[in-house]
Amino acid sequence: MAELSDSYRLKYVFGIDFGTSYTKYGPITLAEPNVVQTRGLFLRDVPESVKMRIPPDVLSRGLVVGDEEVRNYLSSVRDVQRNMKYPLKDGIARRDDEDAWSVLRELARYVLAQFPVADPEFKGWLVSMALSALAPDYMYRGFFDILEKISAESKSIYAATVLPQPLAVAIAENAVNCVIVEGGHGNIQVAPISYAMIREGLVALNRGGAEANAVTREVLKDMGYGDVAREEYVVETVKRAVGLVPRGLGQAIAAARSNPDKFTAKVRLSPIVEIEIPKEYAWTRFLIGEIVFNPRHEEFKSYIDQSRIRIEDAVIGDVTLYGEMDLASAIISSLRSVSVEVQDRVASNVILSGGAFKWDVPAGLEEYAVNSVEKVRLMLGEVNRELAAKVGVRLVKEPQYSAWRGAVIYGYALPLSLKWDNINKEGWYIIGGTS
Amino acid sequence: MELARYLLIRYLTEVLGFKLESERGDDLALLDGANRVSVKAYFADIYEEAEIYKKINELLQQDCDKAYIALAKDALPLVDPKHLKALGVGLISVDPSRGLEGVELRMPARARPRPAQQVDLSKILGAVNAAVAEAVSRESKRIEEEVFKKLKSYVDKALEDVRRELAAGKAEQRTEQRGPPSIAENEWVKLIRRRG
Repeated sequence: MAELSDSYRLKYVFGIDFGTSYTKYGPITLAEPNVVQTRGLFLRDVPESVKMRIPPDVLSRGLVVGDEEVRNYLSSVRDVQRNMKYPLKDGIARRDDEDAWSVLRELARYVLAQFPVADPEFKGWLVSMALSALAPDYMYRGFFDILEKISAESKSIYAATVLPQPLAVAIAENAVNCVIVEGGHGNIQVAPISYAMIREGLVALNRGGAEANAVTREVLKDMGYGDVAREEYVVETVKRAVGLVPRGLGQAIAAARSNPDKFTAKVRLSPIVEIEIPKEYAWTRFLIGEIVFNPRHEEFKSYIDQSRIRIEDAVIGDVTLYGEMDLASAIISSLRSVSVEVQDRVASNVILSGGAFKWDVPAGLEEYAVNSVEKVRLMLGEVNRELAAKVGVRLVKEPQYSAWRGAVIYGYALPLSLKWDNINKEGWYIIGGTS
Repeated sequence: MELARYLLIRYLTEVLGFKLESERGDDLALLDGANRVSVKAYFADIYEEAEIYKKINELLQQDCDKAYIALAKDALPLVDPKHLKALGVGLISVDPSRGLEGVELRMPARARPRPAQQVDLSKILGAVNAAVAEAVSRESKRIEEEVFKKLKSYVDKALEDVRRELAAGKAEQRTEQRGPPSIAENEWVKLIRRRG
């Protein structure tokens, strides 16, 4: 297969980052990728009168994707709960979930169709996809099959490759020795990287932004806002507005109980809905942030026990996702798999990425609340003071886009002579070839 | 007086060769070739000088190339020939007692610009001027529009070229910014390339 020139790659590498909630996509020429929700709406149970108004090609596929398109058909579908499909759970699509794969296929077709090319020199996109580090082998094969089918119709793809999201983040951050801590909605992946992702060192936690939302929902119910707490948007907004990461949970809760006035807050959700965190619940603000970092804390555990939140281990393929492991232990456990010789170098660069690490410190509460970087540093110090002294922690520059950016850089650099290898999970899968 | 008028008409048509066109009151309209000749035939038993000059004045108002006043021989002493000469009006005297021979051309008429023609000319001139002005203005507008169109297309083209150059510059700049510097400086790029 002939190597394509650098100038061709600088135009026609197409990155797609399949996140659980959002898919980020676009060619290498974009400054920022386009974003679309990772979901699809099946056009089942559609009344005959509405069917008449749906274009035949959409109707024949029986499925729509794209934020605007889904919104257009929402009112046409009788049972939205049943027909709205989020194909990825913790970044994984189940092998036997045909609906999920249909949505992913339609989504891939949709994102590529957004960028038609008229250049006579265009030989097809070089598609570089970022998937969860936990993605099993069948997902790689599944995505290649999808692209094969799309290219059979449109001849728009030359070759495709897949890389794990933590590696993509490391590439975007230009860090060859580092620990990537990717905090998503459903889980947290801790991946050590030393010139490549060290798969043996991958540690996954079965919690993330979703668990912080769950705590927020419980707190809202306790405060008497059970009605609005049903809406995910409300929960997410309240979490972002009042959630705090405590410097030390014990001291923070004690301070909030002894001086609650300082920790009360109000959130205006709309001109007519305002939520007030009263004095007696002010301390619960710290629980919202803490669950992401350490759900094993005593005060915290007691709160979980009396609520309906369950944080349990889960198994995906051959990877166990730990429910209660604290983040510092996860990082240390991950580092143990790295050669001792380079451990220091890898540990010196802990990079936090993803929405689960987006926490602000309100003015005046600096004594009790910290941001994610400080929190990880403090936690590591509690577990291993010597290690903590060597560790450098930082947040990625573009939490939302770094995996996409890493994917396009990877697609630009990876030589076409390197064919896809199922063992190493590296190389180009030539569309229409024999790979 | 009818005889005098009769003799006058005969003289004009037979001797001078004019063609009688019409008669209205004491006015005779004749054609001398293509020229129109007006003759005021004023015959009276008793002439008044003032009345004669009034008739001459009426004659001057008529639309013709030559004008004559015809009077009975008795009225000649009342007419100032210098005045008639200055006006260019011809004088014919008629003595009915002598028959056709009694009709004499005392003073020839001088060809004069016709008042009606003067009005027409000015109108025509006005119309011509207006037409010319309109044509000039139309033509100038056309030229103006043509020049404007040409200028516009030239300026548009120049602008488009500048825009294209700018866009190309920006694209190049973007490629440079997003491409080579950020990517080329990335350690991973060298690392991954070595795997080929």
